[in-house]
Amino acid sequence: MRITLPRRRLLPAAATTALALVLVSCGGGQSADAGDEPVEGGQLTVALRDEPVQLNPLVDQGSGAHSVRPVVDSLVWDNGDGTYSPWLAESWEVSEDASHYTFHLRDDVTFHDGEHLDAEAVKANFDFVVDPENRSTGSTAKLQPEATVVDEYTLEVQLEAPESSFLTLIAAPYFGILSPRQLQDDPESLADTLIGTGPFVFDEWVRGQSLTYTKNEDYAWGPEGTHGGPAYLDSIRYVFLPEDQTRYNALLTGEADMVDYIPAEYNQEVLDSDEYTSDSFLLPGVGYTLHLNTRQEPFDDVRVRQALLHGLDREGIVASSTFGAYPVQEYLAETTPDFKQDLENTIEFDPDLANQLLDEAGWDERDSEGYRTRDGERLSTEVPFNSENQLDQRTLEQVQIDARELGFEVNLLPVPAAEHSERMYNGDYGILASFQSESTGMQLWRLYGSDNVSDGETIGSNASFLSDPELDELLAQARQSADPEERAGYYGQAQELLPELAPAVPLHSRARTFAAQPYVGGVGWDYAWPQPYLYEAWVNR
Amino acid sequence: MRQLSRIGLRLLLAAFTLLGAATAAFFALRLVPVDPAFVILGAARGDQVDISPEVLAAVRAEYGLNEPLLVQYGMFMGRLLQGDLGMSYVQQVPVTSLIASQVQPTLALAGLGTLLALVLSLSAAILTAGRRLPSGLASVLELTAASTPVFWLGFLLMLIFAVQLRALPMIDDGSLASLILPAVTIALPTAAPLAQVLRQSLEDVLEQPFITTARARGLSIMTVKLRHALRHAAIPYLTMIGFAFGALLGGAAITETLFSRPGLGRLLIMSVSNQDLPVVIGVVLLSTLAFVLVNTLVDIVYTLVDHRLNEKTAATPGEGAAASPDTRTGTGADAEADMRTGTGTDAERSGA
Amino acid sequence: MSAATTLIGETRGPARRRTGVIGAGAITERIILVACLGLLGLFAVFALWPSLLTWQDPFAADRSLILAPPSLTHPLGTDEIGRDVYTRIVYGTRSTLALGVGAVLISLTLGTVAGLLAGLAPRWVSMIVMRGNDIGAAFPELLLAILIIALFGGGPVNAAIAIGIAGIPYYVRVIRAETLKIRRATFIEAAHGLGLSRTTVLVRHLAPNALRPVVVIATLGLGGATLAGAGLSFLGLGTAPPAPEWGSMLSNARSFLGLGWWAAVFPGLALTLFVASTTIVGRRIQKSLEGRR
Repeated sequence: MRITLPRRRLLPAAATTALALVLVSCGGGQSADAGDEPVEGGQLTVALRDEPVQLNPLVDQGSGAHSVRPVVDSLVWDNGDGTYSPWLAESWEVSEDASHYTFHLRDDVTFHDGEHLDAEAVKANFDFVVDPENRSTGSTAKLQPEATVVDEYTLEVQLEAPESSFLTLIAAPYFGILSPRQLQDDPESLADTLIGTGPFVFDEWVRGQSLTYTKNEDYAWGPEGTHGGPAYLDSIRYVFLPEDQTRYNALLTGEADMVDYIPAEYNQEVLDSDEYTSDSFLLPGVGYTLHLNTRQEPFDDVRVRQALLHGLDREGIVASSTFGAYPVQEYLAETTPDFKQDLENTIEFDPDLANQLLDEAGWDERDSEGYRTRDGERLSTEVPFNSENQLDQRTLEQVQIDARELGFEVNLLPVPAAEHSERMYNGDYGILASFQSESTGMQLWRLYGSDNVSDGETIGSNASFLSDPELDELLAQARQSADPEERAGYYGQAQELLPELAPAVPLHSRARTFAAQPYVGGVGWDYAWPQPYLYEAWVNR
Repeated sequence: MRQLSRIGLRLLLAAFTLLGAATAAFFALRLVPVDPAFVILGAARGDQVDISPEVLAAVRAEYGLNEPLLVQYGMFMGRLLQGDLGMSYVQQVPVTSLIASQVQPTLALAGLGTLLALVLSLSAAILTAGRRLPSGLASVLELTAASTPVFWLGFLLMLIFAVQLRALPMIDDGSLASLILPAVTIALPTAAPLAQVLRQSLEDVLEQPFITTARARGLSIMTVKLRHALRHAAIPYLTMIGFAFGALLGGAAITETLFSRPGLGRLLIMSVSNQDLPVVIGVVLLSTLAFVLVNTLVDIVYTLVDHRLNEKTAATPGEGAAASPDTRTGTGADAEADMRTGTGTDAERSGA
Repeated sequence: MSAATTLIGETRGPARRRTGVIGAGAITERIILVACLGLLGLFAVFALWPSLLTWQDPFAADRSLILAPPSLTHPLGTDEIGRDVYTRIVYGTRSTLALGVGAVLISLTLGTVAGLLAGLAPRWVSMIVMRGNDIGAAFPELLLAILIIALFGGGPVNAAIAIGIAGIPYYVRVIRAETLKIRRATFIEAAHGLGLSRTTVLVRHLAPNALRPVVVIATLGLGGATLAGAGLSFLGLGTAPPAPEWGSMLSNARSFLGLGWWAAVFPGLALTLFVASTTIVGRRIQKSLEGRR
């Protein structure tokens, strides 16, 4: 569902002001069109939002994964619809219960340092994430894969527990295959240099400024469906512009050939513009969600959780905070492969129901400020948030306004990122708002499965601390189902069940939108962890 | 001999200041109730990650986090004395190399910023001093620049000169052109008070009898300004410049963030928010070192100059008021404090 | 922030006989001064009694009016949440001013005590105070403020404390320098010569004279502290939403200049006008104090 705001009229008003500040004078658009035929050569400058803090994708999922795809290839290519194509692995077999995988590798692949890709090389990558010394916190490490070499180009992987989404996880850049020589002989260098098999070779990282890759002339193993040979571009230069307005300005001034992560407020404008080519992909997974701490008052009472779930005008909140750019979602974004299309138990906005639930839960008195109370205590909760993200802040301010209508006090607490994490692990919050994306329904298990509840020793990603046997059983079944349809069936049942348990209030799915100057062509998508795929991109200036 | 021992004392005090700052930084940051192990594991960046007990234990052992705080402090100081600042928790590279890579961009920004502040304030003051209307207009502009938040100023400059006029690039590509907008952003709030001080000094000097004499000899007003007035107005102005440069690091933090430039300021802001303790301590120590060095140098120079001046003053007691303003400014700190308050030095009072 | 904070008050005052505060003629000068006082008065009314000058609720939001341009009902438009910008500026005055005033009071109190101590106590005490002060001054102001917020958390109170503490070293230097200068001044020597006791000289003559510039630096420092608060808001360390505060209003709306310039421009204007007014008034006070000396 798309909500448009009456906002285009703002532009003429601004143009008439004395300063006439930003207004897009996107002139100079006469430059050549990219055309349909790839052009060899040239550099592509891409403005990204976040700079990686370190490059090694095998260590954590957040950081390197944003910008290392051109350098590293994966075993399989995710087609985005639950199917996979060959890449570094020519073929593979999956056991009945999705816990045992056999990969048959290509025999013609070499790393940038001249190492040959074989079963031993891939095993080195699995061994690296499993070793606690290497501190890997990604999804792959969580599954404790044990790799065994069968012959030179055959590798078996046994998981600790069944995981039907394993191929999606290893198709993502955060399981990009790295040179075994670098992994074993020089692991310290992984933080700021990467040696992979990708179409581009790591060149230079100027911290705080840019990351440059140059073409790999020997490349001949692009994923199925691509031209396969060396990339068209001579080089890629990522520049990091965390400030939203600055990044958007880089598109207007032409200082960036391509700008990734167009901010929500300019999303529609960019998509509608004739000046740029643009594309948008709705990120799959759990999306931007308010996780309710079920261990604390007032959310230990399921009625209070349900009241918030139905008492917030999610459409209104999302439409206004995202400027109509992003859609409201249920517990999974609609682009997630396991999203249930014909979901029956959808979340409806019903303030009467919400008020009734709160009354039933005993919060039926009102104090002088109009907030609900029970035994003289105000119905109140706290949301620590990292105020660097303006979209998060706007969304939470809108949530606060709606909650106030219900007589529910929601206090926003801006905290530095570090304190945020500390509160997260101590469960010191009423609501934890976060955006999570992975291209599989398995994320429901990571966020709502009782296996992932922190227990003082292990730190888990289940931020609501929900522990429900029925849900756990469905999620376990789904993870054991190698058959995609069977798997989607179980995840579908979980999606029907979640609104009853109400561990969280899902709000919006985020679109990853990029815009490029008209002379840029051939930019595709890597669906395993949706991001622009630059292997076949070209510039025709 | 007495001077040598005074200089020795200064150096000793400088070393103590440094150690004090290192200790203060170490313990202050350890008061933050965040387990560094989480930071090292990337948890501080807000990802909801799963961390096993084995991984946590491995990290704690590797970074010595299981040791008592005092032992950790001892280890920290021991390594510090060997010039080793440890590994960045978040970026997983040595702190020294991280800082080394960010010094040059900040120096370039602060250097060009200071230069621009000089040029802007000199030209604004010299061109407008003594001319009522231009002087008033310039004053209003200066007041506005000094009364506007730096980030807002930078935003407006970016929108006007990069987005609207396409006159200058805004994104850092290592070129001088891309340094101009950030440097202007950082220079304007510095240039504004500099210009005001200089204009005021110039206007005061222009009212002096010896200027009237010079004018009577047929010199043009501009010649008088440049040849005579400027020389006398320069002292308070020069005192302020050193200090303006010192104030630029804070300005750099905001400007670098706004323009997404590399540099110490941005590294610092990022490291504080990431709880990257070793990097924060490293940057703090570097800025302390720079401050202490400059201050010690100034102190030593004043000690020497003071000595010479005393002798000189004794020899020629009756110098004209306008010609000897700097002999009585006392220590550097005093002069600096005077400049900040605007209470005026003895020299100015005697010159008035 | 830092450059502006430290330098805002640096124009010197003495000998400003002919030209005025901003270099205009005497009459223009007076008009400007009155205008500034008027503005500060208006801000004071905003801060003390906000509902007098606006009838709207600063928290009331209308989702159909996100970033709506100025109109009769919303004279300065609405912000990115759909709230009235004018009303939020009015209500935001209190927290904005409280932050500046609070910070200045903290720097002032602690800085004065330490400064007098450094100027009057025996050499070794003075040395300890000044070396400690050097350590404090060696941290850039903004960094020190951020460190303090990292230790104690964000929010307006902590922001004021952070800016206040970060400003102390400067006040210490000023007060000490002033004390030293006055201690050497002829009238103090005369007082000693008259046989007055040390304490009497200190309390009746030295301290009041040494503290005189404090009025000036405090007024001028108010502007600097307010700008510093805005800088913290830009870095995401200021006031918690939804409380209105000029710096965070400006900072939150900065990405929407192309969609609704009013949400950023007007709070920015309020900030600049306030800081400029305090500067002009501060210099005026300075001038009259210098005149009396």
